[in-house]
Amino acid sequence: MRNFKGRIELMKKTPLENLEKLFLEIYDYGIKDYVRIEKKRDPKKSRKEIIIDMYEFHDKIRGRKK
Amino acid sequence: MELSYKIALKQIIDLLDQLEKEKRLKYYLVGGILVNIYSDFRITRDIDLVIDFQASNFRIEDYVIVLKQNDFFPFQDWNTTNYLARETKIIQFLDKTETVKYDNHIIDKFDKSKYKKLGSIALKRRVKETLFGVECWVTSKEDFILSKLIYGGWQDYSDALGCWMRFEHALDVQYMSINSKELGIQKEFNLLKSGIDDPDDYFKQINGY
Repeated sequence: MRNFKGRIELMKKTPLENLEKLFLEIYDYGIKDYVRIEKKRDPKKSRKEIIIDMYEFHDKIRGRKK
Repeated sequence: MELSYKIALKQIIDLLDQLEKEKRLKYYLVGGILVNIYSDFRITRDIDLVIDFQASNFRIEDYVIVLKQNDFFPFQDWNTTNYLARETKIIQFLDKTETVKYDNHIIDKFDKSKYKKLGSIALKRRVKETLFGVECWVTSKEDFILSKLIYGGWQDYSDALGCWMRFEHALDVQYMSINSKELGIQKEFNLLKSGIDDPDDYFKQINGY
């Protein structure tokens, strides 16, 4: 079971520098991996098309009220 | 290491700081980019900003020209970006590596929807923070929570709850209470204050499951 309260307590104690470093590493790895997988699925698609489709898909699954 | 997100943030903030100085175009960052300083750690892909053109003599068309001149990239082309910006009040474009998306939400004082109403309210309370080594204007913690309660997706509620639990004793609760009424999100705000500490429980209760 997830412990959200525990996560927030941990956030209070974690230096921002560590969080930002982790964020940037995961971000770059995630984008590279996403483009690699999509390129394999559809080699004709340009990198830019893959990126735009990724953002459109992300907006769709966000489940916001508006 | 590429650090594309950090470079994209610096690219847009350098431009906006210059435009604020020269054209009185005010901005502030909102959304997922703020979770590390305000809520619980997670990854976001884009950079969300709010821009106020109404207090400046700079038009949306001028801004789009400046974006083009400063090596940003359009989704399709700049004419379409211009057209969609006027229609939707959002300017969407990519950084110079064509990786990071910017969503520039335009403040519209005449739009009375709760989604747009907060834009000008929060502008008055924007604060300076340093994110990824870049000093920039960001929305306040209180307005971060209010905006998340307005949008109302699971991730939004989770971000709002995380911020509330992390900074509960430092928040201006009276300000939030007044504005939650004004924005029609009193039910969401009252549940946040109730002591609930799990986003799934919050989501279930607010949606009546």
